[in-house]
Amino acid sequence: MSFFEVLKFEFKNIFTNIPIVLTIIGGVLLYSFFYPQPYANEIVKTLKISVVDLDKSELSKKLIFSLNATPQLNIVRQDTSPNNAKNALIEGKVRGIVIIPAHFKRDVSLHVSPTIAIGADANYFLIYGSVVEGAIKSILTQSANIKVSNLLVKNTPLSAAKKQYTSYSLQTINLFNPNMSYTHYVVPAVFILILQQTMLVGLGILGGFYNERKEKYDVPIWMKLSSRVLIFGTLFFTHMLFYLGFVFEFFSLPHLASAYDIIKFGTPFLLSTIFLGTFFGGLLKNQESATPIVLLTSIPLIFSAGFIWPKEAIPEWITYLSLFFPSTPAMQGFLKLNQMGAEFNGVLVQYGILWLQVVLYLLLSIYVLKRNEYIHLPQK
Amino acid sequence: MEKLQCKEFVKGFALCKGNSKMFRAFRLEIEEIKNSFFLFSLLTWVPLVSFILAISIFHQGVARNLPISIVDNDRSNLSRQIIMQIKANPSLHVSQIFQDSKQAAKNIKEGQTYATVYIPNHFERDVLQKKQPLISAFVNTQYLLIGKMINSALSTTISQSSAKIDFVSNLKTNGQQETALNATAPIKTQITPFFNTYQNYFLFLVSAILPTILQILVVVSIILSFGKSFKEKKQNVFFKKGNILAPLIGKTLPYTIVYFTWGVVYLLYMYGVEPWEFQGSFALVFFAMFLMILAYQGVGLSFFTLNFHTTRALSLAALYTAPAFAFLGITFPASSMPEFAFFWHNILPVSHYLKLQISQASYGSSALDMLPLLINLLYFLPLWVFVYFKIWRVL
Repeated sequence: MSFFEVLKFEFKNIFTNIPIVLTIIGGVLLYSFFYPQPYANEIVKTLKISVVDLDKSELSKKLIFSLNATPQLNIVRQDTSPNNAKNALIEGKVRGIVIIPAHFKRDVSLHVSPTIAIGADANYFLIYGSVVEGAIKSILTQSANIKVSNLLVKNTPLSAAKKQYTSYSLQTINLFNPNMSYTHYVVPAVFILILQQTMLVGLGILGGFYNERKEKYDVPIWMKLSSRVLIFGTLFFTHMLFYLGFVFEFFSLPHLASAYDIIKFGTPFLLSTIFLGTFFGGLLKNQESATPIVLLTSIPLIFSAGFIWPKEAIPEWITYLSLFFPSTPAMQGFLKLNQMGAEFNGVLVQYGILWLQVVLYLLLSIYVLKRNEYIHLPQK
Repeated sequence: MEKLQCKEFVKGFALCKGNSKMFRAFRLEIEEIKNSFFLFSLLTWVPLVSFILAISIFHQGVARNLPISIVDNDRSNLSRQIIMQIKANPSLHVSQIFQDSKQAAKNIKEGQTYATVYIPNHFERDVLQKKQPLISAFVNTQYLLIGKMINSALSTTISQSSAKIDFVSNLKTNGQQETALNATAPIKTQITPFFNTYQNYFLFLVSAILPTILQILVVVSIILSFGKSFKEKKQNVFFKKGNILAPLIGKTLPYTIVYFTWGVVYLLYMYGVEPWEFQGSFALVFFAMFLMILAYQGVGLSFFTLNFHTTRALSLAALYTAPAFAFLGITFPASSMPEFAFFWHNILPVSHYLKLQISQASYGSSALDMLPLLINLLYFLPLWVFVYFKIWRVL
């Protein structure tokens, strides 16, 4: 067989296999639309809260008014006791509770700092954070107002009083994802994982298919390998540009890296995944095993990559283990280049790991293809 | 002979006497599992390893020592004091102190630090002159969760440190400690996180990740089991026309039992071994777990019986189960999802199961309140009827 014939043969075996096509074309296209869906509304909607006003004074009404004016919060009920409010929380009628204590106004005027209790369901962290953030902001404003008026009582001029309420404060500037968007947080990295996993499934099924056939497929290994590199490389190179270009644009995700850097960094990522997939497929006895194995690796891979949960908090052995998969350095590197605008020098470690993987999996796939040749020889 | 073995196996068990066809399929399936390393693995060490991995990743629960840098342009007593206070915060680790903000920015871009705190020139002087200077924190929120943790650690530290100065200056003017304290904060706030009292990410994420792993295993193993039998033309060994239901239950029973056991194991681990509170009824959660497994088996078998092609069914299973975690409504609330995502959230049995698990663990809601969630899980069971007829047709 000439190289061109091998290429044609491989091409036919890939594109006439429905599950492979379903994965490497259907899956890739579908996921690009599918994965960003939960976060499409971006911001957590207005949250319903309950207020328990045990004071019923002018000041507490003022506070309730300012709570309601906070964009995150919407007071839908006022309960008479903290217990009623907690029940409403459990039944899901409200997401948070604010309790204004009895004698609130009196305590404030007597200079005995009263305590306002804020409660929210910490089972849902995002909701919890929004309730607490909204309530605290509005209470702090009230508190500051009181401070200013206290200073005014002491005959401090208004401009000075306003300035005096705190010596210095913190100003936070959010970098790279200024609106704290969930899409920006999750989607860019998940896309890289999807590219790897769909390619591994495709190559896995293909490898399983050859091993099921048990027919001699006697051509030089370099031909088999380079035809897979050509076919999968071209296809996934297109996918990569489609994801990082068109889909990013569509979901208005920031993309700071130059096309040149993307391609330069993407090359060892695609190559190492192709060789890992070939090695993986060569180990499989049948087509069915590919999808389940790859499927089960997704959850550990996404959570151990260090962007959802800090790598400082992940046990080292898991971090090292995860570095054997192209997706880990690829997600880290692409985030830095494309989301955070790092120079290429900043991703040299990840780039190096990817090239090491290319070498490792190239050798392993040569080994496994050679081994399979002997297995397929008719036994005498 | 067969009946005798049956009696030996479960002595006096009515199920066995009345339904020996079911028991026969059960025993045949056990043989199949013994002969298939892959199926055996999916039932035994694969769930174990997956659970251990997920648990280990999040076991620390609270992030400590997140690396940040500080740019101190003031180099005064006050700025050094603030740096000391930031260093004392257990969530943060000041890995570098820069003179130059460019260097700090580069550090963040390259992922060596997650944030940098900038103390401006003449900071101490401005504080003394009551000019209320600002300390700036540049936080990498690309890593949203990490960014949020750093944000809250820094704002607590800085407001506490600022309050200390306020307190001292109020003490000078007022002379009285009580009033000075009150002038610093006329209204205090107390934040009560209900239910996840320690605000621990381990409880929050792992209690959702483990059922997500379980659903993948349930769907995949049932497809592989039926796929194997049909590929090896053993369908007539298991099923006979007019006799499908009993063998169908018998063949799926080993998987139901094993995955139910794994479910029980992780629940007992989460709420028994780990210190998390559990208010409600374990029986109710176990029952929901059982229904969830039946629901997913129904889904998996429906995928398979669409055209009796294992690999194609597995592709569908991948599409259905792989993105599940994002749709659960745990990290991002389901009520804020757009319609399609909310629909997808609802057609995943694990969403309903998880709501029940959380409300039993945290609120201890009554069984009556849980009824709607249980009914949601029951809606998936008619899929078994579809499966029944599809198998009936191919025999």
